[in-house]
Amino acid sequence: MKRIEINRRQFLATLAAAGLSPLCIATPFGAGEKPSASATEMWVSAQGNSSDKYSLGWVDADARPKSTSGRILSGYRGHGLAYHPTKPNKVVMFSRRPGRVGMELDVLTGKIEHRFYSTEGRHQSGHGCFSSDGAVLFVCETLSSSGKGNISVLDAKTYQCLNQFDSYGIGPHEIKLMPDNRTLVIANGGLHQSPKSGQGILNLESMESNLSYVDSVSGELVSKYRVTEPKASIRHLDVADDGTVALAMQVQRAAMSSNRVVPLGAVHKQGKPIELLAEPNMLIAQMHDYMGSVAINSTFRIAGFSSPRGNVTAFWHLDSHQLLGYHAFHDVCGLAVTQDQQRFVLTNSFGQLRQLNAHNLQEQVSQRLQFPDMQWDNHLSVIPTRKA
Amino acid sequence: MKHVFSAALIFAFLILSACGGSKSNTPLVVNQDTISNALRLAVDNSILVAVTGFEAQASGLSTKAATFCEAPATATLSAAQQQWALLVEQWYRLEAYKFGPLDDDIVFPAYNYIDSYRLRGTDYTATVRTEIKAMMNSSESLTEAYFDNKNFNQVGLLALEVTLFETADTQSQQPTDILNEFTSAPRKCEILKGLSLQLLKRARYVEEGWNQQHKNSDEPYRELFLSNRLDDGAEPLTQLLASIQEHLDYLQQRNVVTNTSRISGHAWRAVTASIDEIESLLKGDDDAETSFFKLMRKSGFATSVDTVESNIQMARDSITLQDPVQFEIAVAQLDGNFKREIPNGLEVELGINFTDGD
Repeated sequence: MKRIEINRRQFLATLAAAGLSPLCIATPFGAGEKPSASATEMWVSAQGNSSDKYSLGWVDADARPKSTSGRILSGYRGHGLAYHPTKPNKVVMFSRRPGRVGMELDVLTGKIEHRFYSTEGRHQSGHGCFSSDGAVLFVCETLSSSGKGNISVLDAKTYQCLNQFDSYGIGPHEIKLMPDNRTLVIANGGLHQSPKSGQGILNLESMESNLSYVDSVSGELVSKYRVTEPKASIRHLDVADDGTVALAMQVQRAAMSSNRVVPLGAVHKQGKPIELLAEPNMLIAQMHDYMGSVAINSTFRIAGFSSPRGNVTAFWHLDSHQLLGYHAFHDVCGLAVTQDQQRFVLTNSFGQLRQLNAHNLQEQVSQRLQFPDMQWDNHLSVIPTRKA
Repeated sequence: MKHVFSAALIFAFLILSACGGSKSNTPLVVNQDTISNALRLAVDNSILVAVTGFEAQASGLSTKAATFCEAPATATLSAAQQQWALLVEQWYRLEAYKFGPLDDDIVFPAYNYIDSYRLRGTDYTATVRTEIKAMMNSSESLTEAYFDNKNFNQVGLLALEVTLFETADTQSQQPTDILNEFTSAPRKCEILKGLSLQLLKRARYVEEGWNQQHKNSDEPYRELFLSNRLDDGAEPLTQLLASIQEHLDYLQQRNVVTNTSRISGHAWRAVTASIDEIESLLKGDDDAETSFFKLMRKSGFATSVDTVESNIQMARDSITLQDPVQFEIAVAQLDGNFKREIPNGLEVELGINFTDGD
């Protein structure tokens, strides 16, 4: 493995040449420090554990003779990512709440193309997605004063706000486009969090989470679904090729009087009730009420769910809802599927990366990667890359 | 100018060295070697002692149970009860190290079969009572295989406490009543021996895992741990500190002093053992070349060590007073020490805190 990072002097010189201050832009790569030109995909994630290190980190696992990695300083703690469907190698990194900034960058050149900001009084929820034609970006936001969810529709070229509509819930978190390329599916977590810290929950007693399907053109609600446990917050989701949605939840135990184990994963098909992945109980108990990420492998019909509190990632079949396997990995949260659908890729906050064979969910131990200076944050994305 | 500055620095260093004198005043840098050394001593002098101690006490209970069943009497019952108490104390020492062989299976971890309360703070006393009654009234053969198939909440320390410290019919805690029940219902002795053996098997599994062979590897967990080759990718010191922090969190969040060992009334002695263990781990042996506390003090974190020691003393005071509220406050503060002062002092990265809502 090889890590690529430009030094402070190079960084400042680059900023000066670009007429920019260190506060408003991060580093492009230096000469000869670009990811491999042969890369067909890159694995990218927000990373860093302090304000001077927050960045978008990338891994080019196809580089030879060794995998390479690098980072692009962001100046804010990122969370989820969305790759542009028509602009090759472009990815957007959203702010972790209560941040307001997002940026578009080129993963091959390291150049930050745009920064955009949520309107005053709103903060980003950490996730967003592009329309299928790449014309607009949907950004999940929360009104800081009320917790009400808002979807901002930005022009994907200029990042100017074109429109906005309701998320149909409190505290939206992850948003994805359905395979019809028109409907958005939104995880409204139901939590109104302190606007200052983004941490304290202000509505534990009244919280109500839902899964909303919204028309991306009209902004109208198509349908809305809830889980039976009112204190289970739907936070993350992924969508299979056939429109099956996998949900990852976090239970607000402090608001519950019961100590019973609450399922944290679920599967949904539009028009039907949400189906909980309720077994095995003991495995779910070990996740300590927290799933942090979900990724679907459509080819094998598998949904993977990571739990950093349980130090485990578990996999259920999308149709039979049977547990297929699990993998113990300390502080795991990042979870993605490779483009060829042959592997699940897992990351943790200690800079480690593991790959599981999607056929049998066995780890490919020889493929382990470690990047000691990286602290992979919650979400990992696989980004298709294209040669210049 | 640069050379002048360097020369001044060297001169100042020489002067200070001449004044300071002994090697013990040389700042001890926290680095890979010193941390590894302190960790090795902690493993060998604390963790492995707790592991083997637990196995020895479990073996002792198995023996005392057999002795009691061969010659049921007040004295042999009392000896078995006292042995259970020693076993619980040893468990509260070991439980602070809930990783490795004690927790190497996501679905069926050994610790769960030893202490069913540990997983989610669920009190299974009613379940255990029902189960013991059912076993006593059943005609099913109480073989080792029978106990092997029991759920985690039907075996372990709680099941042994219910068996040893009260009668199944009226829940009398009078020794004569308990003795009479064992005498009149021989199956209860089979239950006692079966449960004791189950617990001993778990204790042996943990001991063998640490000292001989861990799971499918050909090596003891001790070697894997100290050489930073853990299956789940955890860094050993991070794993150790996180485990103790979780244990402290458990002690307070689950109100252990009020909700466990209710029949035997042994909870305060149990948590005393936990505090003893944690202090011993941090301080190390007085004669040892290093310890976590020594390392922190010598590398400029003496105030942090003082803070931790003060909180340990506060916990001890609350135990003396048997004050659950003060105990929880003290343990919560210690919990915080394992999140901040100690990792900072040892320059340990605990990972990103993946909090609610993200």
